[in-house]
Amino acid sequence: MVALILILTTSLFFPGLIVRVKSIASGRKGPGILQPIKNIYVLLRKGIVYSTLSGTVSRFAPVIVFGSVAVASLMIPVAGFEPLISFNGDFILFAYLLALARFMMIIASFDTGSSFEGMGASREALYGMLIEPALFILLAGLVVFTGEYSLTGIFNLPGGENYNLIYGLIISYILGNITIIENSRVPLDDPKTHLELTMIHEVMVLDTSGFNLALIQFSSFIKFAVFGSLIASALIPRDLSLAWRLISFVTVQMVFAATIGFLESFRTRFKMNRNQQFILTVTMISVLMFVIILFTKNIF
Amino acid sequence: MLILLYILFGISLVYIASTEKFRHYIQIYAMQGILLFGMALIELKDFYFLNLLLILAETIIFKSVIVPYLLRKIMQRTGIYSVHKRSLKGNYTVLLMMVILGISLLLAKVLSIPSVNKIYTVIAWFTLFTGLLLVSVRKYLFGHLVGFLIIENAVFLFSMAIGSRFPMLVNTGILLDIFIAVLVMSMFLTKIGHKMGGFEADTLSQLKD
Repeated sequence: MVALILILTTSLFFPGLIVRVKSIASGRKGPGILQPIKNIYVLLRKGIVYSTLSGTVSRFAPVIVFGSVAVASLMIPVAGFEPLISFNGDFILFAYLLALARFMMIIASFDTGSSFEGMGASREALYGMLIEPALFILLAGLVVFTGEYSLTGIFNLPGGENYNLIYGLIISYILGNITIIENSRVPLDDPKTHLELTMIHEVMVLDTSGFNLALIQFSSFIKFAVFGSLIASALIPRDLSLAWRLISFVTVQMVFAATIGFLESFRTRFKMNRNQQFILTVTMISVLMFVIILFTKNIF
Repeated sequence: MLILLYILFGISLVYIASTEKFRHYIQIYAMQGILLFGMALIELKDFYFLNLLLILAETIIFKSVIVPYLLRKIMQRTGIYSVHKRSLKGNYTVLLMMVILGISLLLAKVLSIPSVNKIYTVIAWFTLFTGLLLVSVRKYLFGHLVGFLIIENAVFLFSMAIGSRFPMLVNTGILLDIFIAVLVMSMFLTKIGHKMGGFEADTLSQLKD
């Protein structure tokens, strides 16, 4: 239960922290840390407008997207705290719940009948297809490395002499890039842009409004917290004291959010045709990590 | 620590194969020199002055300082800063790198010798094929230059894999070969390339006695 509370709390502050860092980096006063959550609160009170062309899929897709991501978040161990759901092979369910959320977003955007949204959906499908192997290969490598088959076991990092910061840092690098791709952030996509031709995620929700938009935006916040928690779990050893684990968790999340904020401030967005190369490079690094693990475990 | 160096070296190969900017080539090549120095230092068993000096000269001074400086000069003189438009696209190159990694694993398995450190062999094969890939998919000579230098890095890694059975003198000889190849191509790029009407590898075939 503590794990879930920590993830939900993180999801409330994470996007605000990114926005805050971006505004500080660009010399603006900018909105407060809680502004994204306030926006969601406003959206929750607004009514929903459906396009006359849209069918039933658009009506239930946002709920399934939110539900999938919320259930996926129940499987995440946080800094030594057990998740609510944990069983052997749960990482496969975790990956497919995220894939289900993406699938629902894609068919919902097709359902609106908008050519722009269809274009965004096709890009989202391609990038999703390219990044999924990276996540699976990373998790497979960790299964080999730890000999465990659940997310709790995989991310249960030993402390003391067995602590391995190097693996933690490389896992964090790969997971950080997967987060950027999953959430369509810079350099892949820019959530601030409003030119439909270059948009990915944002163009898919052009016809979504009110309560439904709030659900989709909050799902994205939870995804940040979920991947941030996995990164924290890959870096924080389980045998630290409770206070130190909590302090380390908050620090890792803040550093992760600040890093994304700084990257978005100083990095330009890639051209569309460079995105595939970026995603494939992340997958390749994941493969390299897998190969090195095979060697260190004397399997190869 | 050695694991981190292996992984960083592997990542640097992936980036050098996929990047399209020549200044990135230079930066990554300079970084590889430092990584190789770190690997050699950790693996060094006969810790005597001359051996250390040779490794320092080959990795840090040659690979990280002199060659990057020369490459930067060549880049500035030719005024070409990115790969040719007709070169293989970066995403296909990354896909080819995955195939190359698979082949490297296979070769290391098939040609394994008990006394040889297998992980070095894999990285060395991977580096060698990355160099060959750069030579074969890049149109401009600058890419070929970097490709040859990467192949030399592979030779260095092979020498580390077999340790004492591969004398430093042989390694230095190969380094000299590569250096001459790079020198010839540099001369072509900086001295006669303009007259020949381009810096593409194909124009080399027009050279006559």
